[in-house]
Amino acid sequence: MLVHKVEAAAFSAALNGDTKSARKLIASLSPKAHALAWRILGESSEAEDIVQAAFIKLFEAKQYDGKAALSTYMHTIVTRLCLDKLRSSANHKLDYGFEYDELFSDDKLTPIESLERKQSDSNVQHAMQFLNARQRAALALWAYHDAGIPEIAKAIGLDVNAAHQLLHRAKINLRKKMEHLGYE
Amino acid sequence: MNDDDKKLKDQIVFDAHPKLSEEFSRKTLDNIFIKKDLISANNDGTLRLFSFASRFKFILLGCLLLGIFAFQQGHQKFIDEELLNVDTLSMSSFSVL
Repeated sequence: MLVHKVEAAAFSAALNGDTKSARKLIASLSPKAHALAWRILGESSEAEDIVQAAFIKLFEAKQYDGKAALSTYMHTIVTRLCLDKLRSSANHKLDYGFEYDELFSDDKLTPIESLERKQSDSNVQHAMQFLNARQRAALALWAYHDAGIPEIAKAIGLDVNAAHQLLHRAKINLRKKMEHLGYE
Repeated sequence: MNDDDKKLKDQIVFDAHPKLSEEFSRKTLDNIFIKKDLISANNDGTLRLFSFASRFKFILLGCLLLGIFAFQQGHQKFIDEELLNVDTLSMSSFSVL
């Protein structure tokens, strides 16, 4: 595909030290990658750190053949880094929604502060907080990247059937939660 | 894709998102080009130069001011010496007379 050839040329130019190409790549890949990481991690600043780490990994690889979109590689790296981060966290956040964090939270928020914090999030993000990390990742990949089941399976590290089930369950859970919270 | 899926996707994609910080692009470029040295050479060298200048701008400004001060002092000394020479010369001419 021509788009991928253009991306491959830009990537190669960036690797050879062309700052303009590097800037363009960063500008084009960052917004969706950041949104993806934010959906999985729930924190914008943490998401930025992950996207930066993902760019480093992308450039460390020093090769891109243009067979798939560069964003596919980027999103796979971002998803894996996010899941690794959650897996290595002290509370094993991978298997839980963010509401689990509140049990371990050190800050003593009053009910009003807690409500305000939740209301500051978007409705969808609030509802997504109740899904586990793999479900959030599957939904975000599907929504932002139009990722098919094989891509989701590869990014999350599951087989195709499990990824299909995961995405299906994630959609159902999100719809239910949004309905329950009165966001639909 | 059925209508429900399309609606859900739109809700996720067109939802309010936090913005990337203003520093993000610069930090990422720094990480890729300088700290990690992943790219063999920055062709025009501008990135390293600008990054260096921006990181050490206050030190560079201090050096510049010190340089101006030193130059000004040196110049003043030179003028003083010239005046002294003229003075000595005129004194010696005066004594000859």
